[in-house]
Amino acid sequence: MLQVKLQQTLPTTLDVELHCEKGEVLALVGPSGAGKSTVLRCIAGLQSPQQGLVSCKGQTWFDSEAKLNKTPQQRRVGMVFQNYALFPHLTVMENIKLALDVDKDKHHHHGKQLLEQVNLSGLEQRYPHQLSGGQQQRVAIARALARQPEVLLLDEPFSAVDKVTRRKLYMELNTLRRQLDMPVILVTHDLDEAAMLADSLCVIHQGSTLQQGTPDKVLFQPNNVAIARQVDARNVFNGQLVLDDKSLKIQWYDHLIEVTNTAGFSIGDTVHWTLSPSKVLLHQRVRKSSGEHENPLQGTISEMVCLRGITTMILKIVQTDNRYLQMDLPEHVAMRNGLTIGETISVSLLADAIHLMSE
Amino acid sequence: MTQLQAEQLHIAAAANLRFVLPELVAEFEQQTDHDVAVSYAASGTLTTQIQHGAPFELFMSADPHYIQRLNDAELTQGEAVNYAQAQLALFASNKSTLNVDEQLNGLQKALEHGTINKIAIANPRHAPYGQAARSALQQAGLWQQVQPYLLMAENASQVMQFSLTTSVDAGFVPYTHIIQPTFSSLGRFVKLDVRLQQQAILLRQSTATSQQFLDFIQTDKAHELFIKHGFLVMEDF
Amino acid sequence: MDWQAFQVSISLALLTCLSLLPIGLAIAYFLAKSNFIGRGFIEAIITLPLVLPPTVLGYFLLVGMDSNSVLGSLFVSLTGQNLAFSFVGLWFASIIYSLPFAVQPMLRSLESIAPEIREAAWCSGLSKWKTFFKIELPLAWPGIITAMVLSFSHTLGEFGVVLMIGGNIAGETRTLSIAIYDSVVSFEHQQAQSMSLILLAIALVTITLVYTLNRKQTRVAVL
Repeated sequence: MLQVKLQQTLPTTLDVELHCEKGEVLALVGPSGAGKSTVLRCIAGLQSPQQGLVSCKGQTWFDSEAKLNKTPQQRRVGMVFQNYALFPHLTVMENIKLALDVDKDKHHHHGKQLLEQVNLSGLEQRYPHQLSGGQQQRVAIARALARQPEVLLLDEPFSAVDKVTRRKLYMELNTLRRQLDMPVILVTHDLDEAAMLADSLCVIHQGSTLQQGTPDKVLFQPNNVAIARQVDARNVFNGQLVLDDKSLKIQWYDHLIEVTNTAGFSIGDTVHWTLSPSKVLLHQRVRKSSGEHENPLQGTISEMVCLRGITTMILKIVQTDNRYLQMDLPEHVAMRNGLTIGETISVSLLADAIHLMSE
Repeated sequence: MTQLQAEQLHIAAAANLRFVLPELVAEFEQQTDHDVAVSYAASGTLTTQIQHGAPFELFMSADPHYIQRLNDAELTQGEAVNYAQAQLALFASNKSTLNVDEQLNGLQKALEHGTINKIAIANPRHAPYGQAARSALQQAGLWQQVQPYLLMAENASQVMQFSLTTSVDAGFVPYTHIIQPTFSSLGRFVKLDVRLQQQAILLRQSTATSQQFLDFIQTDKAHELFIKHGFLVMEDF
Repeated sequence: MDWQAFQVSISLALLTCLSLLPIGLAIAYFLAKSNFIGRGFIEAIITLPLVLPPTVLGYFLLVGMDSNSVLGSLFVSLTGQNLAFSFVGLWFASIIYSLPFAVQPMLRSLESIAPEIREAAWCSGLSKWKTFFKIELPLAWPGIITAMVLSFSHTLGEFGVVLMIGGNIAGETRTLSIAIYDSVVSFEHQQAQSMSLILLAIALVTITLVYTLNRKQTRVAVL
């Protein structure tokens, strides 16, 4: 298990705390300049914060109190850089062999194995400039793994390839990580990528880690509005908690919104609430559903966008001073109901999907 | 070729005339109201320039051989004039412990004792003062002995420069240089009995003015200035 | 043809370029990795011999190697010989005036290596020394060769400084360029011509080598 605590005021602020179990993929997300690469570099030993602690599998790699700071060579990290940083004057096999830590006579065998693991058999004698972006990335991963590292660090490994290659690499990484028995930290600014690949998501902003949890939790139940903004939460509104018929509800303009989880909040509190667009239910014209009694609202479709089978609609909700709600539904449902821009439709907000946040 | 306006007279002068010629020119300009421009360089360099068409009217050389060369190339006018003789001096800087004397006895003793570091002369291959230095050393029978210690400077001025460093015990320099107050205070020197014939000649593109100057440097007034600057003139030959 | 002068020139050029390999590399490496405020100033000082006229350089060297000076007296105490007007003095002077020719190409070469490459080597378990020899040096090699060739040919062709501080001693400080000059000034043009042609041939070969190597460097894709 990897534990990381980093604190610093100069030259840049850092206030990071994260942990990653073996076999777990942790995605570190944040905008450019948030400090994600800095965190990786501190874990790898390429950089040291003013204060902190980095330990892996019970071994301390960095401890500012004890003035302990192991070099990257002494730590066992597998680092995949953003531009792969392959050694341009060496072949693929030589690149990997350089990182191998076994007897010379076993080099060839291990090298071949690693290449197989990343689906690059047959390309041993090629030079990096003769490889495609996707192939280079695989070599970088193989080289990182050659070290038999205790943690695998990936610094925006997919940013340098095109979308088509990226999808392929996502699949391969998923397969690969099941074979790996170490914590994996993936740095990315792409929330979708993080949601797809990670077991755990950690949001970092301006050098501070804001929240760590499963993608579902972090993306749809952010702890506060600042984090909600970071994870691009699409429906964020304000309201006030009121008592109605013995249960707490959100007073949202003229509407009373039922909400299941109100822990930590009391009557009269001003709250921010968020709801995933996929948890807004359409009152279908063709087929009625049972959930239509929950938080019914009416809205006019002001925008409709279809992407890969999902239709995202932006609704102007009535009696809310022009507030917009986003909802996602399968394209075929939108078509079946003949939805078009300008129409007024009815929707339901699922009460147990509504998440309350503090400021 | 007479000009109504005084035009500039271009003279090519050997570098050893650097101290005497400005005074000669000042006197000439005062007397005749003519304008004179002088280019100083090694006699060999000036010869090459003249051969390639440099616009000089008068050439004052430190070595008759160069004038001969120009004669052969038909670049001259009239007869060459032996206007003065330059002298050679042996100079040892204040950093040096060598005794300088006219017979070069001090040098001989030092050579025998092996206490010589370096002796500087101008390159005898092409510098008149180098050839003069070689004569002086040959006359004293020291030319062979001094070989391993010889430093050959590019020109007479560089001999001076080398002689001022700690590694050089003495140098054979132009007498006309070393008597200048700026240099004479830097060490001790002695005049040697070797002479260099200074010769001047009009060049093909000369004017009446250049003839005037050539005549001028043979006058008594000019002789005074030459003597003041360490040269020997006609009467003394 | 003054073969002795030719030998002096070649020996001087070879010794200088070989000395500049470790010296230039150390300076270039230090500069490549540094980013402090005075760095530009240090680079400027190293480049000075390139822009100063040989007369200025010659003057400072003459004064600096004098037996009275710090350097000169140190040399005397160590070897019993004078540094001025000696082959060793010339070697020392050559190192200084060919220094920028060695440092610049090596520096550019080292700078062009992305820092991540070094870091990737460290993370792969290579020590700093191993990283230097197995990764950085091979990648900077074309620049290093260029540096060697340039400092060799520059020293071979150096004239002004040698004229100022050499003293034209046969077998010791009379280089080929001095011999050529001597011949020209003595109106021995035939000799001057044959020696000049040889020097020209060597210069042509070395410069061609440099350009060919430079093409090779740009073909190696460095991230």
